[in-house]
Amino acid sequence: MKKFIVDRRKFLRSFFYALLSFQLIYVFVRLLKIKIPQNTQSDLYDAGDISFFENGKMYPFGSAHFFLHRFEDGGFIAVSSKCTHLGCAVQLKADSLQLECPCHASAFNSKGEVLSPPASRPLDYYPIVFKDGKVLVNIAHPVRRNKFEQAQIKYI
Amino acid sequence: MKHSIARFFLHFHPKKVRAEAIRFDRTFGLGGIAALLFVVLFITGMMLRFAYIPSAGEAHDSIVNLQQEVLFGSLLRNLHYWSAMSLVVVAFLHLVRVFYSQSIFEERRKNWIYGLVLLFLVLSANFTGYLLPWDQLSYWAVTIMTNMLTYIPFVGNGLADIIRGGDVVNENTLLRFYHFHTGLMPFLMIFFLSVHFWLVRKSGGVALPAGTDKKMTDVNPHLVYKEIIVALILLLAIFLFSVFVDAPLLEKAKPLVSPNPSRAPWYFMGFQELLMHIHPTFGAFIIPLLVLIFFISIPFLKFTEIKKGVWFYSSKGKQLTILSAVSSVIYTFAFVVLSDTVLDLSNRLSGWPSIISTGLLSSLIYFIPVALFILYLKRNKQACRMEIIIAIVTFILAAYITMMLTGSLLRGEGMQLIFLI
Repeated sequence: MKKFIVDRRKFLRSFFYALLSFQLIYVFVRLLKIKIPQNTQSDLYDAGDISFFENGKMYPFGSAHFFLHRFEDGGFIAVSSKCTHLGCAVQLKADSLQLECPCHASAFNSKGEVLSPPASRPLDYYPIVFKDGKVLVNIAHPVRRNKFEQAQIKYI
Repeated sequence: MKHSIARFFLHFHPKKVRAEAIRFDRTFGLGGIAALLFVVLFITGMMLRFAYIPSAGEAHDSIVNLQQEVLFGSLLRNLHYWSAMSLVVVAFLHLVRVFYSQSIFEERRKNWIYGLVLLFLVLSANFTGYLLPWDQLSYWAVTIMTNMLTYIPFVGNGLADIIRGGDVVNENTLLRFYHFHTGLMPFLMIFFLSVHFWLVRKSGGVALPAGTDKKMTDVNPHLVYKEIIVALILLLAIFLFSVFVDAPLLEKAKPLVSPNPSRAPWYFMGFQELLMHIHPTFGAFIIPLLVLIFFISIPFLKFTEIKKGVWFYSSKGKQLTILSAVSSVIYTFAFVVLSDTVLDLSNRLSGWPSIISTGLLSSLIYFIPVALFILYLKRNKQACRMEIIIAIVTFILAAYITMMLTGSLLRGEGMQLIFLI
């Protein structure tokens, strides 16, 4: 084997090449990071009048990718329909408050907590604001969480 | 002028080669077949570009239109599709061949690295092409695969977002994949293929064992004839297959409805199967990373003796290969079934943090017996280091293939094992 010697010339040359490569990679990554503007109207999705939602029921909003649940005590939570296992769309099981993933059989309750694996994390939830008697869901900012907390439920 | 094209192609070969080097069972022509498939893909791909519209609204319709309205449109797409699938298989077999015929050491070890890079490019090109039909199959396969990336610690989410151009698979992803598939990937592949070919010649062509007959023979016609025959048989086979078997095209992608079950592309099903048993941090990150590091480092390890070109290194090497392959298939399949039924760690230990129960514990349950098996080979079979490496590689490859086949063929609705329902 040849002996590996780094003299000044070799060092500067490799340093220059490395710098150039990093520059190229950096430019390319920044290029891929562009957010191509979608035709989004607003971050806030108007789900409807507060009075419309009955206590203890769950309402699917398929095209906006969330389920809105109103608890028995009147609180709201909007859980994402994107399964935390591998990203499939969970569906509401008929006659129950349970969400099931058709891909790999993960199940979640209405708060988004995992009932059965392979998913290991609760479903993301969306922040809710109330305005003029309407429920507005901030669909642009799903919140990742590792467990359900009471503070995630919004009251009027 | 008449011969200048022939002369150009003959630059891939020297004027004379050793007669022993061109025996078909030295290489099975796998490298050449892969290169030819790349050419077929390049040409059919260029033609498909004229018919395809890379937008979520029109992609699926443009393919339906190609298949129904264009003369031989369906055949063109089938050729591209089946060549791409064959290329994954052939590239993998080529890797298996160079490894078992001990052709990756010393002057060839740089080419082993380039080969791994090319395998990665073949898989990426295939995967980015997978999305383009924008049907239910491709949409959810890409959703699942890009979500596997999110399990890589720290950088996973950022990486997946960069690849998708957003946090879900959408129109941006389609456009991005189209440009990866038809621009960047072919460009990189041509570059790395050139280096790959050049390094093959630089290291003296096909690796031959010491002591084989040194007789030289003319490349033209002896090797050229063989190559032409293999190429014609391959083209005929792909062509006939494409005439009779259509590439799948399901209904247009519906981002709100996941099919049951949803699968990654078949060559990534091994990972999806692994993720069903082992925590994602291990299944999608630690284990693949360790395997990759191991594969890269093989030709750089120190061996007492290297026998270039000798299949399986020795007769004991061959025996251990068969033993490891059979053990790996049986053991891995048994682990999959037991993990689904008896062990069921995620439910049984639901109070524990999942990284301990399905992560560390599952990995240990799988790997401790494997380590004991390797130790047994070393102690009781007196296997040397090279034979141990061969056994480990065989074990890994056979385990992956077992998981891939189990996930693809033996799982039905809800990803349940079909024979347990």
